[in-house]
Amino acid sequence: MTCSRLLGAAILGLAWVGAWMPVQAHAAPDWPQFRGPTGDGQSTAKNVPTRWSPTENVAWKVSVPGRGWSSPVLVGKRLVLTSAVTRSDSSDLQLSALCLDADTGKLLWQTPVFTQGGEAPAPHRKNSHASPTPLIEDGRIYVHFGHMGTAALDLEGKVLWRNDTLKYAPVHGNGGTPILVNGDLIFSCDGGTDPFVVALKASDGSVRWKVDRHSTFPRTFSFATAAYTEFKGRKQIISPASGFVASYDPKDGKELWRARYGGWSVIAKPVFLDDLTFISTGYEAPTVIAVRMDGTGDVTDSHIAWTLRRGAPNTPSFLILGQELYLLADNGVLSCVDAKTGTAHYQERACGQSSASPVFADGRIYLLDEQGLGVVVAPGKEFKKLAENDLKERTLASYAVTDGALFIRSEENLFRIGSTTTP
Amino acid sequence: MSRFTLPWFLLLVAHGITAAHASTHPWPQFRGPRGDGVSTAASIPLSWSATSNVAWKTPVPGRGWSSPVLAHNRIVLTSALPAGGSNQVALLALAFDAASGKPVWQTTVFPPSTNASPVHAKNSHASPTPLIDGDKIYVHFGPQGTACLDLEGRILWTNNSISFDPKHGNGGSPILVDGRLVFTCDGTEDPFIAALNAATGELAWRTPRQATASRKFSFGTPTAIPVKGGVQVISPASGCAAAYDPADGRELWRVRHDGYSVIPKPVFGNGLVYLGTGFNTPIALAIRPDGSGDVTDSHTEWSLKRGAGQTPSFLLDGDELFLLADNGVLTCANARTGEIHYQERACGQSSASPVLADGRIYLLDEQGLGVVVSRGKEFKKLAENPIGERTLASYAVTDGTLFIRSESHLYSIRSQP
Repeated sequence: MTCSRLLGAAILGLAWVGAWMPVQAHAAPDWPQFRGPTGDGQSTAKNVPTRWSPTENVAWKVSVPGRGWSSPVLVGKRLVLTSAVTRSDSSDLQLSALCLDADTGKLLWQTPVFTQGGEAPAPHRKNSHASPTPLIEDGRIYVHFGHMGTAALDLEGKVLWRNDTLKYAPVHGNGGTPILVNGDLIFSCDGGTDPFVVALKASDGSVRWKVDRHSTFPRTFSFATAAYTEFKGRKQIISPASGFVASYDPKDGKELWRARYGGWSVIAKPVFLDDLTFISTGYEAPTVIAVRMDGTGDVTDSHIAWTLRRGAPNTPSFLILGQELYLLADNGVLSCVDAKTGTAHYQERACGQSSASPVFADGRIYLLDEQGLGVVVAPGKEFKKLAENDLKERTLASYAVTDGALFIRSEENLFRIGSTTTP
Repeated sequence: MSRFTLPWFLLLVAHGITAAHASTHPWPQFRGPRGDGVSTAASIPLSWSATSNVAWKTPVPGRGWSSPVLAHNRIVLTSALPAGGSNQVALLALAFDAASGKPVWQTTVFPPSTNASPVHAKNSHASPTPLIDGDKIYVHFGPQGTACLDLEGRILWTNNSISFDPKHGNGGSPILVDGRLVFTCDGTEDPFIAALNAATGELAWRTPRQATASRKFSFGTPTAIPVKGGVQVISPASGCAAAYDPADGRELWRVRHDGYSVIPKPVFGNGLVYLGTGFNTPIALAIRPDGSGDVTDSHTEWSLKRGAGQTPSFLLDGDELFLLADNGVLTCANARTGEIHYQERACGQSSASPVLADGRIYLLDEQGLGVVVSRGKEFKKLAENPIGERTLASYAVTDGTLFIRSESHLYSIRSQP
């Protein structure tokens, strides 16, 4: 959010307090995009459940048509996710947006957005044809299916625009989720060759800018979600790629700086603390690097504050809590490190093999491993496991959170854990 | 008992709604095994609420007011899932495990198309109730088409060639008579009744309505009755109710009336066919079905101008005929004479058809209030059971269990230990 929007919101907020507080005070927080309202896994929700099982504390469970590892998003009473649904009369996949009633789990609508031919190459065994997470803002739903296209829908499921003109050859399927910055959807298209970053106008789906990655790295494919920040007046899109992370000006896509590394197939979404952004360098030997964001050009030798080899994730994104950076490695080892120095406070096995990104909610850290084990950990420099909750279903998508409830997407089902209705 | 009334079981054996599932009582079609709202199941719960005596509750995708049906321990229903806003919907058949409520399969019978006509606010694109016969499931979506599925949800045939221009959407359910699915196609123009070969889905016959009603649209479900060793299909429509030969669709007799938008499914007993005439003023008619041609003046045994519903079907219990008006007033009339025993407000605005089960009458109003009334000539309310959700579909009943479809959920109501 920009300064002017914040200011505007503050002024409006003051004006609204009198009139709207009685009804607005208890509006449950939304989870409108990948990693929640602030895009970094942090929730303001209260009374978030700490105990559940396949039969306990499940408000509802519904089967989700098709396959997809996109995470659910929530605005008001609407839960939205994407799925690749097999047609009954052909081998084609319908890349679809689905909307469920968050209180009941009832499927309200299911809109086929793109059709992917049955000859579509199988994605990586841990991927799906519907992995990028939807995004909802101002009554519009944005869905993205990598090289198959991007679309906007209204809240009733009507497609407002589609863009399937950004063709590229993916490796292992799609993955990264768009972010919405000042009216543009920004995402990376890091396929088998000629990777690029693009901004689509959210209003009509047309291309605002498209920039070549200028990559010389041998393996170009990656799946990262970009992150947006403003540091010392400079607006930046931090977009990890194979071989480097680059910062782009959201206005025109001009590259501001880049930091090189040896990794590829990069997934994690960057997070920020003060002047630092934290990047996982992906395969094969993931390393976390902390990059100072005030550089220009190639900052590899000048702006990397620290690197950490042990405990770095390939897939799950990070959490920043206070001065601590939490890393969940794909093997389930959770690290808490000093964000300023990279010094580890602890590295402890928390759960099994993991893809979902951790969430911080109601004062606790929530992890979810690939076998459906939800682990709750207390924040702090000492490892303290608070609960283990085994859902016993395969889970690669990340939690969505609101007051009193967690939403979990498994391979076949969507669960509401906790209270039946949004308070 | 009049000379041409065959015992019901003979009709069932001859015309084949398979009822031979030893362990549970199926509810294989609209209004149950006999198509008249009467259940022979036992131990039906008397009381429940949104939280008590609910064995399970499961959300149902999309929108639909078709009633649930039950056979082979599967609940089957249809739904219309919006797919892209406005009137684009995918038409679905869904199966749930009757014991647990778990979804078993979901089949898109007709994919989203843009030619679905708008529906009435109280209607849906999935209002006709499915029918299960042996290992076949038949689903019907009015002018959008008809289909046959196997018990695993695989489509065996579809037919979407029987087109007509509907008013307010679809409504009437098909019945199965002598290997034919018979349903009404009473749209805005040239109303007719049609039969499909149940094995192939091919058109067996279609017969235009012989009526001059200015409002031609109706939503009736026919009823097959045994008459003089044969079978008649009784089918109310706008301006007339008629009997047809199920073999060729030949009209056998008809009764004129002034109604339109006719919904209730006729019931049969005491040698009389009981039917309603729809809007604007619903009249209950008792017709002797042994005539031919226009029998309006010759075979109307009695008529009743007060009490009949426009939407809920009638319930016949021996000598008593129960009529639930749309406003929730229940009328008990002498089925032989039309004389009223009582008229009492039983519940709120109602669309669901009453059920007779375990010796009690079960009503369900549109606000989800299930009202249980004793049978007999005196009005006695036994229980009021709010489920707290909008309900327009009718109950399905099996031993120990009522199934209720609300706007959002399917409920299994069972006495909890």
